[in-house]
Amino acid sequence: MEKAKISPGQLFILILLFDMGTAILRVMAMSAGKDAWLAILLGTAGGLAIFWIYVSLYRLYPELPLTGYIRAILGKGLGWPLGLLYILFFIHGGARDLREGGDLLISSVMEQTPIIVVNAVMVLSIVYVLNKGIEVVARTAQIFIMTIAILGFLSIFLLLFAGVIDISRLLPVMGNGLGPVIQTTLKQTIEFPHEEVICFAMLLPYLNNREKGIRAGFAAVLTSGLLLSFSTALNIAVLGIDIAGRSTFPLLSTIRLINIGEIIQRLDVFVVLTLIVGDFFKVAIFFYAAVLAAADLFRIKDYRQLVLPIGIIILFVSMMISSSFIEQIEEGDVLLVTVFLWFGVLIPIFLLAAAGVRKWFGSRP
Amino acid sequence: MFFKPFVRAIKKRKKKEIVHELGFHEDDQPLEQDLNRTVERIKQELGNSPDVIIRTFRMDIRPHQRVAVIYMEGLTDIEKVNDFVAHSLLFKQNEKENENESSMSSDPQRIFDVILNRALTVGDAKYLNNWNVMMHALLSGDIAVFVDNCEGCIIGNLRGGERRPVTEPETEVNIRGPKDSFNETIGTNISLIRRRLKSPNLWMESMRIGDITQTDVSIMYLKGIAEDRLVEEVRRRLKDIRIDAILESGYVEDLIQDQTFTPFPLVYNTERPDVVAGNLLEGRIAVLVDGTPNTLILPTTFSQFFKAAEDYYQRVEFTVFMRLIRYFGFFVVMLLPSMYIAVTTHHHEMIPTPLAINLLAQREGVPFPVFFEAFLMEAAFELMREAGTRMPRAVGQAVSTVGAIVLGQAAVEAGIVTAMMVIVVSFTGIASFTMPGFTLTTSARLIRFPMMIAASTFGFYGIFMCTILLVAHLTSLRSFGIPYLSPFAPFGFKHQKDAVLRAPYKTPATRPGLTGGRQEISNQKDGVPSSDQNDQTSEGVKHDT
Amino acid sequence: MTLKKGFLALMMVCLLPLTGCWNYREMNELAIAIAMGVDKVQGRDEYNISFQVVNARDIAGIKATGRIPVNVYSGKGKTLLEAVRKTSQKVPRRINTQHMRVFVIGEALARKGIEEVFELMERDPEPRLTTRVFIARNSDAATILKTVTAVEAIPANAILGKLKITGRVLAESYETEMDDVIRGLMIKGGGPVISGIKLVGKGEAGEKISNVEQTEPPTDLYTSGMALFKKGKLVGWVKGDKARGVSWINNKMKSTIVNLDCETKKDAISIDIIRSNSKIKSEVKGEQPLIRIHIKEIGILGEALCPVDVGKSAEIRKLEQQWNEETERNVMAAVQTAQKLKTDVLGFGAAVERANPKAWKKMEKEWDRIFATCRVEVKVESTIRRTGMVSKPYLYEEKK
Repeated sequence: MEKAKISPGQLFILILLFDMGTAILRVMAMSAGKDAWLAILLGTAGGLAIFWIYVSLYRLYPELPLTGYIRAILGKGLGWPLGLLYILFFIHGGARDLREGGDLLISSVMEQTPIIVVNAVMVLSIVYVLNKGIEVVARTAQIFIMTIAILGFLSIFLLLFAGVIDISRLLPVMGNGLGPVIQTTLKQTIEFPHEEVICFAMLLPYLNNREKGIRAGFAAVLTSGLLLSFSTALNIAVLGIDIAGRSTFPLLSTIRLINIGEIIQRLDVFVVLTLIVGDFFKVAIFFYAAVLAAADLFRIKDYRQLVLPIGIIILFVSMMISSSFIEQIEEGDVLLVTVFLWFGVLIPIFLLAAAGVRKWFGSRP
Repeated sequence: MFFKPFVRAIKKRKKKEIVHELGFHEDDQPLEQDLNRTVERIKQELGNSPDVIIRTFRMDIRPHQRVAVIYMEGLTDIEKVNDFVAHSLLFKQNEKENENESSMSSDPQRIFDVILNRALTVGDAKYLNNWNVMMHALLSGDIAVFVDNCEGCIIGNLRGGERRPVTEPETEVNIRGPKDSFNETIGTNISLIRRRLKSPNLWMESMRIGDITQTDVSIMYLKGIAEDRLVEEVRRRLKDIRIDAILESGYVEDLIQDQTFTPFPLVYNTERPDVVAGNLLEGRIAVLVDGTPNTLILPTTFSQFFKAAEDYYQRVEFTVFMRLIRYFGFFVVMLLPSMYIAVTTHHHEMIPTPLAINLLAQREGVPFPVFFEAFLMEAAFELMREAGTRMPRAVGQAVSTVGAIVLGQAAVEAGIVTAMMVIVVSFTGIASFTMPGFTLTTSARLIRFPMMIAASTFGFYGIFMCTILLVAHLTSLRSFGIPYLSPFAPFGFKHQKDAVLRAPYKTPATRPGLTGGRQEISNQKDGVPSSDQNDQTSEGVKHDT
Repeated sequence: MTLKKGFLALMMVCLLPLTGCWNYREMNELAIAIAMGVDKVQGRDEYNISFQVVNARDIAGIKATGRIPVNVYSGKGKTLLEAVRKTSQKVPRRINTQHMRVFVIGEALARKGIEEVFELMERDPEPRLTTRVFIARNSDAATILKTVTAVEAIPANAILGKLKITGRVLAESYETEMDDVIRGLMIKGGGPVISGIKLVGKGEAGEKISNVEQTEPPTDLYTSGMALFKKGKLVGWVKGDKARGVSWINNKMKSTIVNLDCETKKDAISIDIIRSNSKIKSEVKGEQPLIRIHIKEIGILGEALCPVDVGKSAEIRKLEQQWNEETERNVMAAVQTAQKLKTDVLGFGAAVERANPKAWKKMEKEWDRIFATCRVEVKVESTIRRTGMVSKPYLYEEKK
């Protein structure tokens, strides 16, 4: 196991980048129409609940990562194979996000470049950074969150000045009633991106300040929910629900509309940077969770030996995962309420219940 | 890493041979009693070098005992030798010491007492009886006084000879602030620092490093402010050095830094005593090396290279502005050429339309691709720069003029390169001169080239991936256990007071985390978070080879 | 180890430029298309696409050859993309539409329907949605693009400049960007409003550089009115007061001149609007919605050609009252035109939806019918802030 520690502030930043990583770029909750932002906001409440499950498990087993307490709760015979499934889940999650980031990048700015090259560069970079340890990942995140925050504020400011924001495009609120909003919340926004935060169940034992760290985690989930909701509302207010709903990369379309006096325009690079940084950290954390889980299950002392092999697996899985971007998105919607739901929510709930039962029976005699 | 043991092996072998050849004796040897044999031995060990001056005479109080004064020509202040040694030994004695003659004659060894206590008018003089120490003192420019049939000798510090005077700093130029700089003599350098810090807590340790050069190296720190563990670590790393020669502080820097292969400097060096004093007050440690004006300061952080000494003398607003300009300059040096390549070869949509048309017009008829054009011009610039540094001063003007005119204007007029490229390259060049910590500029200049390759291959994607890797590399670096990128990552809010910003002295300031006990002292500069401190120093120890 | 790894990494970095020419495109391999035009091919179900490509050298003034600043290339195809690719037979470089600023649609195509045209514009990453859209009034788009203009060397910039200035000082047409058009196409029972560009003079003479070698070019391009669409088909043009009314209702009014009557003379006083803001609200009572348009405007007295004592605030009140009526007249004229054409280009439907989403659900399908008969109330609050550099005109003193 690695000895490195992460501070609550760093955990906050990592969760924030992880939650927003790919979500901020994509169309979210479009089935709720103009009320997508509302659905995301409601979803955040669900996200907090999900994070509470992880935190409860962490409080019960503060020294162990996810794969560790699975074995502690379920016993080795059941826990070990389940841990193995989690490795596959993390690899798959990383591969999906890698593919998605690569696809977005290629369809928006580098249409001639083969996706394997783009993904390989990304994976190799992540391999380099993970080799340096979680501390380096966290500190790098600190630098880039500042960059992205500055770009974000600048973009909002410029959008305001360009006069492209039209709040009336968000009205009426709940024109179709609460029904679609609730439905979208249940089907999409609770699950995405909040159930992927399960990765952090592998990282929580590295916290150097437990209680503050937990608070920072909740704050990060809440903040990311608010920011996602805000960015979705912004996209709709700028583009209108039709264009935003159709767009594969609405944030880019939004930023492209900035045109102040024919001079301040063409700020695509802001979005490209956000895409690359967000995707980098999202994949890196899935990747790291997979590496840690594997090191834990197979009792490998130095997890660094696993980084490159798992990186190559992620790269090839990302290539095989689907034949096209459409398939990728379609699969994503199905997986969200099946695989991701199981691994992100149902199994942890079950684990919590089992741990509770164990403790209850254990403490009675 | 993998060639280091190899080098060590060579050094070890060499050392033994050389020790025997040159007659440096490992063990403590007493001096000869017989003066003739002493003189002969010194002559022999130094290979009859003509710069050994041996002056023998007889003192009136002891006419039967010969006295010899030995020193190295050029290392010793000859006028002082004449005034204080020869004069006092030869003449003064006549008048004063005749009465005591009888009492003295009984013990030949007592003559040293007389010389030391009554005759010799040299401030720093001592008796010793150790051949190696004597030889080293002699080679350092001290004088040695021997008396026939007496054991031991007297060493007097009359070091002198030709030295460069204390002049204005040549590389770290300031508008406001002190104008003195270090020179090649360690004693002078130490005095320049002490003059600024009149505190009994300014402690200093000396050691000799370099099997042949026997260079004086001193560690300086403020006791109670510098962390003891850090001092111990520096001491340990310096003691571990095994090398034949230390000719400049760069040797030491290379041997004590945390990581060898990185384009970034992990030890700060300066030739300004006020910078050293300021850093000592922040709890850092200075390593002075004899024979060079460049003094090492450690541990260092990335942000330190953007701080000029003047920052602390100028107004706060101005300082903050200048620092922002320097950071901007750093990014320009590193990224501007690659950004230009990315924009003109991959992301045409990001150029405003009128500029795009202008660039397109310039590009018409230019035979080279943008990447090659940029590479050509950057290489030309680096050539000119290197030529400017190495060439004799007399032809300096000619080269820079020829370089600017021929390479810039003529190339554009001939249609070989675009005017825009010349603007980009020269802007990059100018920006590279903004940083006070010159060593970091070199890093940026080096990194620029891989960036350009990445930009021409992947456009902004390449640049951003390179930047992420670069930042990751920077965050993984440590200088004596201190994270290199602090206080940005790990982020310390308290320590932002002297990173990009500089808080006015009136605001209560905290000392950087690397200091020992007293945190809330007077007004301080710089900051490194203390939270990370504990396990880092120890980790730094482990990493060391 | 580190050295070996570093060496390997260095080797890989050095290999990169050898492999990668994927997206590497030099500037001088591109033909920058600054404007694009789409027309219907007569009698066939094909599109004709024209590009106005800049000759950079002659525009930037470096190594100028004195040739014509732009060239126009066109191609035909069943889809727009096919037509674009067909032009490659004629253009020596790759056409790049990233810097496209003007998009012109021929009137014939506009009357047939423009829904299909914007699909490519939205899908392709190259064109920007901030491109301004025009309808070529009484001509095809290619002819417009071929015309050489004075002052601005690039005709596309000239067209754009004329539109911008018209929108800013006269408001008889305003800028419509592609995203506005796309949103407009999605309006139930309505459509977008797109400004018109008109060729004046003989078409062919405008294609030569000699066209601009006269103080008054014999052939020129003027902005002219606005085209009203219904479901992607052009159904009518508005001009003058009606066009201004559309600007007012759609809150695009930036500045214009309103003429008011004086006691002695008609249309003798000009008011220069400096700021205007309009809101559309709606109330649904039973079947019939009521639309309320509320306009607030601020202006200055620009010119007074009759003896009127504007030094008195009572006089100013009177003028403001007149101005209110004049504004209302313009607005109502625009509303009536739209209602006659049964196309909701004014965003009334959205107002109904905002006010009462449930009622809107019912009306949605028949909105064009309901729109044509719905009641509209206009309320104008105008203020004349200043009277320029003088108070009373000298004509007033003269009369005494």
